[in-house]
Amino acid sequence: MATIKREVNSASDPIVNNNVKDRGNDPYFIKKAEKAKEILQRVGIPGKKKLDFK
Amino acid sequence: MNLERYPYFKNSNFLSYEFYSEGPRGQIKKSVRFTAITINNPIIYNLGFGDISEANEEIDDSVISNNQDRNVVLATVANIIMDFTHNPSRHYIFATGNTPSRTRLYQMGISSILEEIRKDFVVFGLKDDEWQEFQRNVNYTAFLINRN
Repeated sequence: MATIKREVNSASDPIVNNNVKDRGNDPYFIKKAEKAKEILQRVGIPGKKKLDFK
Repeated sequence: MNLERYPYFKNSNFLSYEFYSEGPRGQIKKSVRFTAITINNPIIYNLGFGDISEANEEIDDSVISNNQDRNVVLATVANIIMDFTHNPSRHYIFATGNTPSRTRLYQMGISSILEEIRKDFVVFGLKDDEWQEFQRNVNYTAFLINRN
């Protein structure tokens, strides 16, 4: 496997690649989003307690 | 952000990103996924991050990569957040570890590149269920990131 070349720059230049799988249905990410929602329902964000959740 | 990072790729839905970490344990595929939690005013996305298992292509949350490139990985994730929040309608990113020790690792990582992060973002930490601006040497349970 080829060595991965690291980069340093300030500009964002990501490549759209359809081999990148959408992992929105991965159980781990679903669980993490639920946990985040639970916390934010309780504490809100700075300066705003009430949020409109999905 | 002038930090060494890995090249990364994104899905055409602009919500899923991938990159490879490289170190003593070889190349490890990493995934970042933004999931909307709120619907508006402001929109908040959860940042999900993990290694992709070679065995089943699912996220493996139990693994500790230990590939000796923590800061490069963190800089890559920071660059991904920067790309994702480039659209000004995307306001907040929420992140926490799946265990207290993992959250602590995130905290150490943020601390190590805090000056660079602050050029582009405001970072809050959650302590005792109250948000405060991120400070070093304070233990937080979650993080909230907002573009400057």
